[in-house]
Amino acid sequence: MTAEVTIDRITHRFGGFVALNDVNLTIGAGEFAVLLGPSGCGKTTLLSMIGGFLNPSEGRILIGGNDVTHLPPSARPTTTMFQDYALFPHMSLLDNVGFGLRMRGMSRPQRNARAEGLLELVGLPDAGSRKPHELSGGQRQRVALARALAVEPDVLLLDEPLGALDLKLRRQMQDELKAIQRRVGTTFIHVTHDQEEAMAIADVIIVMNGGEVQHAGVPEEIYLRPNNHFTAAFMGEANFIRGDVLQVSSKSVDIQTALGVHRFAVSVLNGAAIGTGQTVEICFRPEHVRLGANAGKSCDFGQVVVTDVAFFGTHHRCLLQLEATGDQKITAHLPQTLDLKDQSKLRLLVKPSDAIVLPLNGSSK
Amino acid sequence: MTTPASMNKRERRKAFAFVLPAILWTVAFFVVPFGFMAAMSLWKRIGSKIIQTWSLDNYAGFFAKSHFVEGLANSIEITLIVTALSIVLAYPLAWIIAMQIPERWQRAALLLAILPFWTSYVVRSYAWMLVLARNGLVNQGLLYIGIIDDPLELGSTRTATVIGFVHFFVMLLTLTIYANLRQLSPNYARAAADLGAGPIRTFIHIILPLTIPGIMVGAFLTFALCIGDYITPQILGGNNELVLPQIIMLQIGRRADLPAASALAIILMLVVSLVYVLCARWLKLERA
Amino acid sequence: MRGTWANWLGAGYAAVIYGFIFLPVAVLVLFSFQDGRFPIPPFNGPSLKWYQAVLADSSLTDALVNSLLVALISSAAACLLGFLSAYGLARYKLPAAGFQRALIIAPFTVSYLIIGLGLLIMFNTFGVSRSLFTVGVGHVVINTPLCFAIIYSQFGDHQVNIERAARDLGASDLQIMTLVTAPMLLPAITAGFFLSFTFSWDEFIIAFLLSRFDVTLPVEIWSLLRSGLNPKTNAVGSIVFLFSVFILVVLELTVFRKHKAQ
Repeated sequence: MTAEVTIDRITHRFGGFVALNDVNLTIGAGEFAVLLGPSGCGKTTLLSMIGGFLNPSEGRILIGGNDVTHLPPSARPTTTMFQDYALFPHMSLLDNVGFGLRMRGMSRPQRNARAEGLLELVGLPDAGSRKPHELSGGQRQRVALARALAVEPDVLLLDEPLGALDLKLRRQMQDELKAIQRRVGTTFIHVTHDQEEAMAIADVIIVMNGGEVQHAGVPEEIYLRPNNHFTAAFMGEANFIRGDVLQVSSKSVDIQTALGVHRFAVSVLNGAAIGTGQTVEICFRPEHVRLGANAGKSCDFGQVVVTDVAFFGTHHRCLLQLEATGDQKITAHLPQTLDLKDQSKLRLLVKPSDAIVLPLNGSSK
Repeated sequence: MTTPASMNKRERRKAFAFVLPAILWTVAFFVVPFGFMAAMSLWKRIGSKIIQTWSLDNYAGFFAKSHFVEGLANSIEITLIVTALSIVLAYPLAWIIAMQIPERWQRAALLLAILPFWTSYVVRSYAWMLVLARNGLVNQGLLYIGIIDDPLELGSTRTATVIGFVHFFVMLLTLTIYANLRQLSPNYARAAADLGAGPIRTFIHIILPLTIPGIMVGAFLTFALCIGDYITPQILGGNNELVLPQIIMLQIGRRADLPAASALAIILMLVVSLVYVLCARWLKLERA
Repeated sequence: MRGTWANWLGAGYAAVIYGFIFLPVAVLVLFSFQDGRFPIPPFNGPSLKWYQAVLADSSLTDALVNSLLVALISSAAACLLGFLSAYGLARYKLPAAGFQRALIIAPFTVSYLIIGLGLLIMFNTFGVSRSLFTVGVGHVVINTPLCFAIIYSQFGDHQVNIERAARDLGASDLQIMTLVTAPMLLPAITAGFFLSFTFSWDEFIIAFLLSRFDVTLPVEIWSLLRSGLNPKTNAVGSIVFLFSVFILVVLELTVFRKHKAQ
């Protein structure tokens, strides 16, 4: 079963500290949403609130259109997968998974059958009589998932469930979580600080910082056209070049920087209301950088010197030093087959359509 | 624990030298005395001499002497009552401290609960006499209010002994059960609530079963300490319904019958060992 | 959020149990200031005369000194034995280590009455007369397991490298043990010492069985009990209680604070 989740003007304070500041959000039914942000951004607080473990200072939470703000966890159509899994150590896996069904009054044979089915769904068939301490971390997590799904919740909340797993296992579990979510159709809300994980599994990513939503959208949008500096910097490496807007027309925008004047199509503004004279940042990713000896259809940011190279398998990660503004370092991902013989004629080139322009200290939306 | 380095002969000798003093002391002043006591239990006191009879008569004769058997029965009865009562009274207190009191006050609340632990054990039992004696606090209070006309016989009874014991072991068990409760991840209760269990069902199905090992350990400790105690029954129990330690002390003191005392002491130890084996077996079953 | 009636019930229960726990101690201390012959209601006073009586009673003050002596020396010995054996078993891989550990801990599990009786018989056999010395021996037996257990549990991997570094720099084994390991384990050693001290200070049955003329305080208090309810006993009891609480507070503020800070 599934439902839409609406966060309506939620604000929460712990004493004098504002953990969440006027958060407004809608997550569609059946979506796999990821709350993404650094420690202390409020994502776990928000998740606790949706689950019913915390009462917000202000605002409402609606699930499937119903106001559940003051309902205890047991009365909400949500279940939570905890970070430490919280499997009941004294019960068998079958009893663990069937616990919620038992609380709803289901008979033993029925709930055992249901539990067996779920254990099979998560990849642990015939393990029902084992106890949690006999399992590995990854296996315990699957059982926790099965237990949470057993009661057919509308919303499944996951609190950084993959943090304790090693990389390979984490990738595997990400795929499995996605597959299971597609299969059962429940709305999943997943909390993590790992942006790679977010992009791997999310239908929609909600980037949070300092108790506020920075940007909510599909992964492509969040990565390629972020709304603000924080989102751009958090979703991977990004380069920022500051400048002032010289003029804006319906087709193009000219920006003056310390590295010359550059023209972009007006679409790079992402729909933001930016006017002449405003200070902005030109933002582009390391993979958008091209080193070349000629200008042309690219923005030419001037002469650079490569100061550092590290081979990352798929690319070379290089640090470039701009000759014009000596202190700024640009991060670039350069091809696998890199030849840096003649450094004197290297120039920093970026296709205008690869870049976006962000207002300084503000948001495009 | 650290994995010690592998050993050559010189190092081994060095290591032994470190451990040797403690081993020697334990052997000399614990194992050997125990051996003496075991030997003594096989001898007899006849007249004013101790004859090395080397027989099991003291043990066989145990069941013949009714007041010995009664002593053991009293010991076991009282100890079981005390253990059960102490658990029932201590658990809610440990719960309240662990779950309902804010985190930074918990240590203070716990220390406060076990503070009287630190009165001298003898003095603590004596203090209960002040409360329970014929002219003690309780009686005078009840007389004053007018509930009773004559003072109740509270002190010098089995009840007084039980009260005195329960007072001590409630503090001990509060400590052990509290430690157990604190070890539990708070997510267990949250997960149970999340899945639809109310507070009572969460407690019955999740919290209580997870604290049973801690209760068992505390219960065994209570049993072993209570059944071997001489002081509290002697001060509070009066001279009726003696328990085994009192009988042992009688054999030592008044009758100077060390062989009998030794045999009784060994029987006491066997009872405690039996209970230990049962508890250990039970705990192992729980684990499996 | 959860019913406040549950909180009230909890508070009520806690109040009752705390009351039960403190009742005898409160009565004890209150009536140690009794101005009258009997430490029972009604309360006349306060008066310090019973405390004066205690301090004037030479058998009590002698017993107090004896208790302190026995406790200090036996605790120090127990700490030393416990530390050495913990060091040997934790740092070196000895054969039958499990058995050795079990042997050292064994006295923990046996009733003091039995330990005392065994020692009494053995000392009798060898013609060793009962004295504070024999009491001390018994107290070392009961406290060494405690010291060993506490100190052993604190030996960890993080200290091994520090000791290795010291050895690298040329320290001998004795120097390592005294200058490096012991200071690092000071909280555990101190905790063991203080706990042993309180156990020895308060211990009755072994002291009763193994002493004769010079006795420890609990034994002296015991003979006081013969005279029935007596405010003098209250006064002594209160002194002992306050002293133990003082040690506990010192422990809490020094050892446990430092441990937490680490």
